[in-house]
Formats: sequence, C-alpha cells, structure tokens
Amino acid sequence: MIAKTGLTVRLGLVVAASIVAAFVPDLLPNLFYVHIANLTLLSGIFALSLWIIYSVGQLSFGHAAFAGLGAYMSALLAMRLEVPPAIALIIAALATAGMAALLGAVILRLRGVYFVLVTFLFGQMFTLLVLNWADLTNGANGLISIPAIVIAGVSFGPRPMFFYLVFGVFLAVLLFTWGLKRSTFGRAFDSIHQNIDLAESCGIDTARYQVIAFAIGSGIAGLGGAMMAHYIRFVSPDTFTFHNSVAFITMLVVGGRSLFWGAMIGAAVITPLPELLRDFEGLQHIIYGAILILVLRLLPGGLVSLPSVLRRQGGGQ
Amino acid sequence: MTPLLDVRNISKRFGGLMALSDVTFSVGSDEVLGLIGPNGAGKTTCFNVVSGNTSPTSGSIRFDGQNIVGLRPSRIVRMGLSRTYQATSVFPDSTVLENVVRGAFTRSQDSLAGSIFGTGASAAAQARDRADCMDILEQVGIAHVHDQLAGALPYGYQRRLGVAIAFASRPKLIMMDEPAAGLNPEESQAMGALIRAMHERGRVSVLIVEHDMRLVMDICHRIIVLDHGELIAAGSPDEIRNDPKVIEAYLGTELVT
Ligand SMILES: Nc1ncnc2c1ncn2[C@@H]1O[C@H](COP(=O)(O)OP(=O)(O)OP(=O)(O)O)[C@@H](O)[C@H]1O
Ligand SMILES: [Mg+2]
Repeated sequence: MIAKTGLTVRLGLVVAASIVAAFVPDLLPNLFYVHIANLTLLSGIFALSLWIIYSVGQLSFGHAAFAGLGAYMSALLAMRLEVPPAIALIIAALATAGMAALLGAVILRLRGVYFVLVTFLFGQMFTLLVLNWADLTNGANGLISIPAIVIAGVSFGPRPMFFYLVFGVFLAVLLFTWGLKRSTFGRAFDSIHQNIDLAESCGIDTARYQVIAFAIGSGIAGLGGAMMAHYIRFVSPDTFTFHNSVAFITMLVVGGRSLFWGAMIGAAVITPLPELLRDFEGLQHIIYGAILILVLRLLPGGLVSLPSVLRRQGGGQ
Repeated sequence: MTPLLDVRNISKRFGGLMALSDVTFSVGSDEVLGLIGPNGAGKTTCFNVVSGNTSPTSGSIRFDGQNIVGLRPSRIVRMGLSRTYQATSVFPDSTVLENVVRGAFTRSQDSLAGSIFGTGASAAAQARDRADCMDILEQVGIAHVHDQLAGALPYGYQRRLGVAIAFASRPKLIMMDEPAAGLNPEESQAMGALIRAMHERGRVSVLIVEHDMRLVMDICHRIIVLDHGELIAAGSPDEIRNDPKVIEAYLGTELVT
C-alpha cells in the first residue's frame, strides 16, 4: 500500500516536471539561457553521481576525470569507429564504470584524506595521459567536430533539442539515485557511511558495496561526460580538470551532502554562477570562494538545511 | 560431536608483543563460555582474530566445521558468528529500529530491484523485517524507543542496542565483548538475564568477555582465563573461582561470591 502511493507520487512528480520542462526552451529569452539550463542539468548529473560515491563515505577528487574518460571514449567511438553517438555514450558509460570498479577495488580500502589524494592523482594522470597520447586524443588541441546525438532520425544537436534529452537523462538519474537510496544497496551504503566496522559486523561486504557505489557513480559521470562531448561537439584536456572535480564537490557541499537532492540544488546554484559573473572577470573565483565559505559558515548542512535552520531561528522547535 | 567453534593454537604478535600465544579452546553448540582475564590479557584481540577483523599470526580456527581464517568478517557473520564491540557501536544517525534492521541485513528477503522500484513484495519483506526486529527490541527491552535516533540514546540503551544488532542476524554463536561495561549493578544484572534469555530462547551459543564476575559466574557454563596472552585455566565457574592461579592473576584476594 505504502509502496503503491510512493510509486504514484513519483510518477506524478515525473509527469509534472516533464510538462514544465516541455515549455522551458520556449519560455527562456534566448538560446544562451537554454545553454545554461543544459549545462546546469549536466552538472546535476555529475553532482548526483558524486553523491552516490559520497553515500559510502568517500569523497572523490577525480570525478571530472571519469566524466572525461566517458567523453573521450564516446567521442572516439563515434569519430573513429563510426558508432552511432547514442550507442557510443552507453558503451562509454559502461566502460567508465568498469574502469572505476577496477580502480576502486584497489584504492577504496584507503580512507579519508588518503582516498582523496589518490583520486586527485588519478585525475592528474588522466589529464597527462590525454595530453601525451596525441595519436589517439589529438593532445592539447582536443577533438573537434564530434557528431551530435541522433535518435531515430531526430538530432539532439540544437540547444533546445538537447535540453529535452538531457532533461530526460537527468530525471532518469535522479529517479535512479532516489530508488538506489531507498534500496537494499542504499541501506548498505549508508551503514558503511555511518559505521564501517559495524556494517561489516552486520554481514555487509563493505569492500564490495564500496566498489559498486564507486562504479555506479563514476559510470554515470562517464555518461554525463559523453553527453557533454556530443553536445559541445568538442572535448580537450581542459574540459574535465581538477577544477571541475572541485566544482562538483562544491555543489555537493553548498547544496547539502546529507540528502541526494542537495546535490541537485547545488548544481542549480553553482553552474550558472560563472556565466552570470562574466562581467566580473577575474573576481569570479573570489566570489565563488566567498559563497562557499559563507555557506559553510552559516549553513554547514548546505542549502537543503535552510528550512530547518529557519524554523529553529523562528523560535519553534 | 565437533564443537561449534574450534580455536587451535592461535597466536597473535603485534611487533614484539605476543598478544596471544598458543591459545586453544572451543565453544560447543548451546554453550555459554566465559572468557576472563586482567586488562590487556588479549581478550579483545582474541575476538578480533576469531571474527576476522585481524588475522592470527598462526593457528587454526574452525566454525561449524569450516576453516574461517582469512575470511572477511562479513563472510564469517553470514556463516552465523556475530559479535558486539567493547566500545559502544551503533549507527548513530539512524533510528533504533533501523539499526536492528541493518543487523538483520543478510537475512532480509527484500530484493535490490524490488526495493529500487518500491514493489509490493519489497514493502512486504521490509514490513516482515521490521516486525521481526521489533520483537528483538522487545526482547532486549528498548522497543519503546524504537523510533529515536540511536546516537541520542542513553548509554545503557546503546549497550542493549549493540546486543540487539548482533542478535538480529540470527547467529549460531554470538561473541560479546564486555556487554555490561559501564553499567550499574542493576543494569548489569538485567544484561545478564537478557543474555541468558537470548541463549535459552534463541538457541544461540555465547562467548562472553566480562569483568563483572557476578554476571560471568551466573550465566556461564564454563570459563576460560587468559593472562598475558596465555590460557592459564579452564573449567566450571566453581573450579575457576577456587583456582589459585586465577586468583593470583586476576581475581585477587577478594573473594568472589
Ligand atoms: N592493534 C594493536 N596493535 C598493537 N598492540 C595491540 C593492538 N591491539 C591490542 N594490542 C595490545 O595487545 C594486548 C592485548 O590487548 P587486548 O585489547 O586484547 O586486551 P583485553 O584483554 O581486551 O583488555 P581489556 O580488558 O582492557 O579490554 C595489549 O597489550 C594491547 O596493548
Ligand atoms: Mg578488551
């Protein structure tokens, strides 16, 4: 009974969101705003997938590298082997998840700052590899003229069309993350996050579940990266750097780490900032940092905690 | 009949320190075995080695007829050997009931796909898990706080919750590391009654480390004594109480009644 209501509510939300989304490209004043909306949804995918990894208590500083891995693989599959982009990005996502699983099996036993350091190094290695393996990746010049995604004859290259696609994928990732959180896996993930030794004593194979979370999160990042490559039609070593990894973490912190939809709010707040702050060129990063510090000082739980903080301020319990 | 847990000649070395040397003992099915000894004797180390949290330097451990040395702790739990920790250990940000449900994780009939999509079958399985875990909370006497966060519980309740979590996997053998540590005499006595009830009703064997001698003498069928990593005595509570070596090493001159 409860499950049925839950399902109805979710379906209702999906339908409502889709109806709103259907009008978004027409309502926005110009294509630039549609572009920002697209980037925001892509960030949402990156931040949500990073949250999945965070949900087993690990903070990945190499998330952008996995996005880049997906981007390059999908672009190369489409350009060199003429795989249809819609199929290439799925292969790229699965391959990214596979590589994350292999890496994760080795590095996930590290905890805290050690894990952070190793994922940081992985990100740097990815950039170096892409720069130096020029035969394959075209080095610093990057890959240009990446084909757009075409499904059943419909091209998702134009910005408004890509909006519909990325919105659909974002919604799917959101629902998947939601489902995952309330699933048996979600219970195992959170047990590991709260008390890894006790989780192991509950019979939960903590090593296995951490690898699963890392592979799922990184695989979704690979999917997002691949979509981005086919949308921007260009990818270079600068597209997915350490700065992007930090931006994803910032989204998680600003939005709120405790709830998965905090990541979503963080993406919505952080992504448009650099674009809106264009006029303050140079001050951008300072403003960015100030916002982060402000949120951490005033709202350690992130923006999702705002309602409960206000309620407490209001005097009521 | 082969014993449920068969520990043979295990040693554990930490650098130059022999935390356990050549320790041999066994726990039968349906037995309550006490493991006592002074601070630093190696009792917790013994638990960690058996539960798979650390590996022994040498020796063999068989549980339910199978070698368990080198297995991951979670694997050993799934075979039916669970444990509690000397320091209170709960999932602080989850409710008391959810804590116990997590203890029952490996027994749950809930499925991954079912729980992602929120199917009726999954909801039914979760309802069964919760009902079953409420029974366990009832048994340990903290059912009335089932919806409170575990981290906010008073200390005595957290100790009980720790036992409930370990019991929720329906183990064949449960190892308890000082379940009464920090409890006052009445609470300690209640804990003893609780362990005995679990043993009798749950048909579970118990290996218990405890400094509260009254509790140990009360509930244990047999007791073994560790000192400086070595097993110095084994026998019935009466034999242990009167063993001069044990009195010298641990019980002291203070008479235990
Ligand atoms: N991980 C470790 N590394 C090094 N030495 C250790 C380690 N764990 C325990 N020891 C040492 O091994 C010895 C046995 O410790 P253990 O915790 O097993 O004692 P115990 O019998 O449980 O004592 P207590 O009654 O105080 O709980 C102690 O000297 C302790 O310092
Ligand atoms: Mg100890």
